[in-house]
Amino acid sequence: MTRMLTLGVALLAAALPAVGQVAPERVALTGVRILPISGPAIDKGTILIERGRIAAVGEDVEVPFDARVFELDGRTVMPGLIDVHTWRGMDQPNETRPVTPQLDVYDAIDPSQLFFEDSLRLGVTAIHVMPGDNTVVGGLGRVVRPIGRTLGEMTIAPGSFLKLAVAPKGGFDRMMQMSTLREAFAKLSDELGKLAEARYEEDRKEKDEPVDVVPDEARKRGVKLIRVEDLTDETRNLLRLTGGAVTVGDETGEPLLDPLGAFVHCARAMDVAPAIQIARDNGFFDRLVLVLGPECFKAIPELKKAARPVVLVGDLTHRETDPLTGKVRETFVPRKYADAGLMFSLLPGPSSSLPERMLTYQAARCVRGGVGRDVALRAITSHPAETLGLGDQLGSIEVGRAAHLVVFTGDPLDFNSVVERVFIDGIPAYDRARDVRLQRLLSFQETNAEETPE
Amino acid sequence: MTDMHSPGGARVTREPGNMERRAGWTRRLAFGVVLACGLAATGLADTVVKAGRAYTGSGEVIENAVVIIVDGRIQAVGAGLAVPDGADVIELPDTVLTPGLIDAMCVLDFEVQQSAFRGRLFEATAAAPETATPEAICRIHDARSVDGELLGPQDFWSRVAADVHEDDPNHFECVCAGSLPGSQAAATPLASAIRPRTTWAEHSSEVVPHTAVIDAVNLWSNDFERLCREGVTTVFVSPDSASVIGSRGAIVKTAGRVGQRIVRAEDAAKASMGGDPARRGRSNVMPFGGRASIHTRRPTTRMGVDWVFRKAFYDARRAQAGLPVSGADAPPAEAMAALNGILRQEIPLRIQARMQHDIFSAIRVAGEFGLPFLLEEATEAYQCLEALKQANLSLVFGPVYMDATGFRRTNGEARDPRLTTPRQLHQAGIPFALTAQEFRGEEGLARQAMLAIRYGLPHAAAFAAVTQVPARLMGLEERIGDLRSGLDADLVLWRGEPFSAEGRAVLVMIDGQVVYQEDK
Repeated sequence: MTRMLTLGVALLAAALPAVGQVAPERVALTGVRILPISGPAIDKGTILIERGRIAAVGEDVEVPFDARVFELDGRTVMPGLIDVHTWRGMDQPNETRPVTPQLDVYDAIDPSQLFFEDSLRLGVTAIHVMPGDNTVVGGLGRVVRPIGRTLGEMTIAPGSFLKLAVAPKGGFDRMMQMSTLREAFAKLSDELGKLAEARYEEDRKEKDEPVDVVPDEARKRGVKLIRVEDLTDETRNLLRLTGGAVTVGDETGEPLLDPLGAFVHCARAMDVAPAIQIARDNGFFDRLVLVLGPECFKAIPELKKAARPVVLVGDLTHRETDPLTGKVRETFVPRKYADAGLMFSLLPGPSSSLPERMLTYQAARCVRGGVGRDVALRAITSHPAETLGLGDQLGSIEVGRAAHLVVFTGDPLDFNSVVERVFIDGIPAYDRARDVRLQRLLSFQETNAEETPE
Repeated sequence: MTDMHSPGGARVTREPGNMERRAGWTRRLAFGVVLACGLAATGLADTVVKAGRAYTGSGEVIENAVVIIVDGRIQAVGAGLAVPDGADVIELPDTVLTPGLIDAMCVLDFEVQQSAFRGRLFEATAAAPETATPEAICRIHDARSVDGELLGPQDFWSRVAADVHEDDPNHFECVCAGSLPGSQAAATPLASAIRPRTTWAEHSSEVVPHTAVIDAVNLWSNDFERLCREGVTTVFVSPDSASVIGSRGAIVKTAGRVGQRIVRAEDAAKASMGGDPARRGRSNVMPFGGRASIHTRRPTTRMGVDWVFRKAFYDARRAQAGLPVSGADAPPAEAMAALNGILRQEIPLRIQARMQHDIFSAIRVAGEFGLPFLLEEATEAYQCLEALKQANLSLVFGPVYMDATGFRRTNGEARDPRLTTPRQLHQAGIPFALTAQEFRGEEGLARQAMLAIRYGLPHAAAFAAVTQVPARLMGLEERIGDLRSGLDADLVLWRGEPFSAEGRAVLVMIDGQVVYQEDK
């Protein structure tokens, strides 16, 4: 075990030459085919990176004399891929308690996990680590890049989404799940009311004035007196989810905190409508992202009406046995969302399946299943970026965006293309030629002594 | 050793003539039965398939390919051939045509217990045509022991084909083979602690080549439909690796009429080296919390596996010579005929081995009896290429994976796979077929070829490894696995390149009949 660990750390260090490095001042990628995602492809062009941001893109870009130049003739560059929802990178997906809005994945992400190295190898440059699905209110996520020795170095954006689940957690049924979820918000409202009352009484006491109103009135008057430091961790994050301002009755205070969004997990179509309703009831509908199991395509009418971004879990094919005939019917799910015009993001499939781990393969499956190529490419780049509220930084190759770039040997959707280089914020983060662990997997030399049995 | 021929290779009775089939078809329509899978009523008379391009089993490319099919077989293949008068034409100019893929080591119904189908006997009977009445089923069952003589599966299934399905133009809505009372092989109850997912593992003894998986194959399984949709038209249904010398596999087509689907009811016997039989022996404890001991089954170690293998053939020789056999590990008397068949090389032998030292064991113990064999799975083949070459072995390799999952992870035999093994086998000149075993979908057979290509196997070699080579390894090169005159018209039309991430099968034809067509 120790040996494995040592080996892992050694390999990680070898494969990630960028660890701890800062971005070179200027980097130029020349002679590449560019898929900007936000616009038409450029057959042969140059990308200039300055201080980690894209400074110029085009066919005729002048390369400054002091730029570090990567001549990448014949290669294809696209924006870094985004894994928009995963619990991996942590040792455990979930706390056993059902309602834990105070938790933050910050405390559980292990930068040395090989998961990050694997992600980098497959061209993923931003990972939204989120608590798992086995929860009711799971805690805060975080967007990280797969390089860095500490979480500080890794962080792209601190958590701006809470994890919620409408699909029941282990040991719960749907009644219990929904009841617990509603109760969490009812409890929040109750606690804020009590807090407002206490603050009003405190305030009167300081001013040496008597409390001369009924409790309901005291609560209303206390709303504007609540300070951030009065909130517990639990109420703080739930309050942010509802918008960040305290409301008691029809009295609303000043916004105390930045609002949070929510990734709400729905395993089945029946979970979709309750998820939308919970979001509407508690003021986070505008920041709602739905994480949908394969069967949820049956709720497309509701989803279309809601028009919120959705994330499709890795198993893109829904398989259903007709109870009468015993025949299995297969539905390729992303096609349904594409046809409905919904903005969807793809996730890597189960880690046991070698091809499905690759986001580019998931996108290629979409093309196979009749989804437009542009939509399929956006579903692994700009869609997840916009879903995370990072559309102005990630997900496309445009001037001013963070320089998250993946260099493929050929077309990204061609299964024979491999990731050759990855740049993250301008840092040359991955070089296939120096990927020790991959070389071992693909090795020819390491065969044992070829003894012939007698 | 390259080719393998089976004595049981005789083709099951061919279908009745075209006119009769047409009549059956019309009658079927009259019954108003809606066919699953959107089957088209083509392929009965002369059929012509036109595609933009075709790959033959040897990887040769034909542009504007035309395949002329007569009576379920390929009559001619070529570029821009003239269409005979009156032929049905299937024309898909933007597709690629290939022979149907062949999985030479298919683990069927991995996710489904066969017993789950039992209850469907009655449901199916209610909706099935008149031929599948309970009386008919009893008749089939009785046929196993007509005149007190126990018939082998090949004869038995010929009767099934002749008796029941003459009038049934498709393979749907009939009773399942798995529900026939005779299909549960007579297992002794010692194995009571074995988990139920052992359809393909006969536990009455370590040496059971007298049993055949065809008796347990559910020809109506959804798994066949899935294989068919993924472009696989013929599979070797593999027994489990739980026995030292296991049951005999069956070669069947994944769709079509029952009479034609069974290509070979009793094919190779499958032996296993390494941890699988040993572990099963250890887990085979007595009921009520008993422990593995000398009173329960052997073997419990790799040494024991080798010993049981040796002793089986040694005892078979003794039995042949009329000498008594003895000892707890003596093979059952019923197995002697099959064991001697293997010794005479009339019954092909396959040996599954994953790790390098298990592969060496297989070579050694088979060598002691001069037995040629087909090596299966061979995860660590990259560690003994020279030995494989010297032993002149052919392989059914696969599946390709990076991290073992499921039983492969728990048995610890697949901790060190290499993604480039197919390429290395190819470069070493070792003949091999690719298999997906129990994997389907994104890791199914076509995707195995896709993976092998990504990790360095040339396209033509990958193509042959799922068509021509498996056909040859099973001695069926004159029947399947290529686009040649005289071969079965098992064709797949793909949109996109067959082994690309974006490619998919849009039409599958078996014996000249369209068995799958993608919904628009």
